[in-house]
Amino acid sequence: MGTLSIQDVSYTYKGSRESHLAVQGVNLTIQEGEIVCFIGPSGCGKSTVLNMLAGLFHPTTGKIEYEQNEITGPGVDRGVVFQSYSLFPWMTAQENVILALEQVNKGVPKQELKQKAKELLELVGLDKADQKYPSQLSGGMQQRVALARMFALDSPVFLMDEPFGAVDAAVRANLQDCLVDLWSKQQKKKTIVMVTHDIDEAILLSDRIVVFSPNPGRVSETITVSIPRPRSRQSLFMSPRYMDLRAHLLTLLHGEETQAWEEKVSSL
Amino acid sequence: MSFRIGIRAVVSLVLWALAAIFVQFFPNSEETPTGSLFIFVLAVIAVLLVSYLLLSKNPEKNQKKQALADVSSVFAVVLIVWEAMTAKWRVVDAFIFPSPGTVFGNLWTDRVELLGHIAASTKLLITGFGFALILGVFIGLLAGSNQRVQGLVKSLANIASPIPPIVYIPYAITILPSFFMSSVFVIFLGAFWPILINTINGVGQIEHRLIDSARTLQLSPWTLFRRVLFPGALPGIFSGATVGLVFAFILLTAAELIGGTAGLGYYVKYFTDFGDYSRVVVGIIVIGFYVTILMTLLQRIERYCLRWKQR
Repeated sequence: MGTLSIQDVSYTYKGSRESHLAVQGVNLTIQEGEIVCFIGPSGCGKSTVLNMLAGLFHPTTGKIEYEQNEITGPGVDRGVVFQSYSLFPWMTAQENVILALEQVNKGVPKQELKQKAKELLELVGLDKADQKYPSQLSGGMQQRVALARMFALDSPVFLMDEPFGAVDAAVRANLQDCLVDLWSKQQKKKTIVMVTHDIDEAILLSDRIVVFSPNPGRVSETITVSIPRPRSRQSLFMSPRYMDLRAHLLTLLHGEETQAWEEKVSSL
Repeated sequence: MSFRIGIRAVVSLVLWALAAIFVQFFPNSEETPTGSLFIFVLAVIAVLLVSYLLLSKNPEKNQKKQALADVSSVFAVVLIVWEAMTAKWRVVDAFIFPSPGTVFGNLWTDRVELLGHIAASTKLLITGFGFALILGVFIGLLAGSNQRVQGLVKSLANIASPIPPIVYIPYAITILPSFFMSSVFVIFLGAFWPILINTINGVGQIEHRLIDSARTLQLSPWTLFRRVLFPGALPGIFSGATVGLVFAFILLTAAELIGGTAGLGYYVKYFTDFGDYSRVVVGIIVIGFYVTILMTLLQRIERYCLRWKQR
């Protein structure tokens, strides 16, 4: 089965003077079709783990397996979207999508790929901007194209590193809906691993939330989000289960700060 | 905004009109052949050009047109002063300072010959610069993506590039079988290093995340080269090509001055030897125009190739 399994992985950044232990002893198994969010304060190693899943970094110790095979490098079986700079600025939106299509549809005529790219851009609502360069698109539109490119690979696993971190709240909600929409339309559900620092985003999207803590980066808790899909923002934000979860995550993420602040407020 | 460009263009227009009137209707102190009529034609062309600037209202190009109007004014003033000091009152020595009339008259007389020299220079330039561009970009991309090659190339460049390529010219003429080959060789050397260094820097300036992005798409090495490294390094390649072209042209004319039998540098050298300074000035003016056209052409190509960068 398409399981991602992280086995006792640690990662050390080797600088020129000193090295820095970024991730220590992470064990995690991600099932096929699951949506998992990594959450945690900056420097907790959540992006490092994602980069290792993508094959861009190699674990210093331990190993990561996908379908029982060790991951040794990047591959088209895992589509990746970064917060920014995922798209090539010298290619139009359409060319960016076509490049990804070419990688997994070898020998398919260009005209057919063009048609496919058009459909994908239509799915993310950008069919009219297909001839635009990324610099001519807003941050939100760029991420839509990046989503379209990721879906163009049609890989079973999607890895996303704060994909909606650089856009404002309204656009972010819009992009989240876009992602869930694309995800739920697939017959065979994609596995999605997403790094975020947005608690609401994590609860809204995840089947499971993996909480990281820093110094050194490790998994401090794994939380199953048993809220049924489809989840609508309105009913979700009112539900007591959501409130509990949110409170729990808040204390986990910035426990002391929140407590100190609450004491300050109550003392007023 | 459009008002300001109006003022500047009007100034330029008035100056050119003055120049035309001054040249044509003010009595000369010396004989100037066909030349003064030629300048008159030139001035009329300038007036037409400036009127075009005056009439068109394209806000995007305003900045450029303002500059162009100012440049045009400067040329008109230079022409007036030049004419006054030579043809009109003859303040400077006639042998070394020909009047504009004589210069432009000779330009017209030698037009066919000059075209031949331009063709000869262009042939050398394209060959030398072309080789430098192809090799510089290729090695630069290779060095940009491989640490070891980069170390080697950069060390070599540090040693070899500060030697002014002009010093190779006499030796190159001696050791290489023809003047064509030796000048192509020095033109190549002049353009090669700046193109190479800037290409390496261009690759270095590609956002690291984009390379990661390319890796996650599992692009083949050739696709990575062609669709990521090359276009990503293009801004660097173009700044290298611009510097390289300037160097190439300096070396081209230097080589022609030293050992040529044709070309714009040769034309200037030949008439210097004969003491025909009016034709020396013709050569200098033609070279000025030639370089301007070349650089404008390169800028156009750059703007087209880097259209994704705008805004």
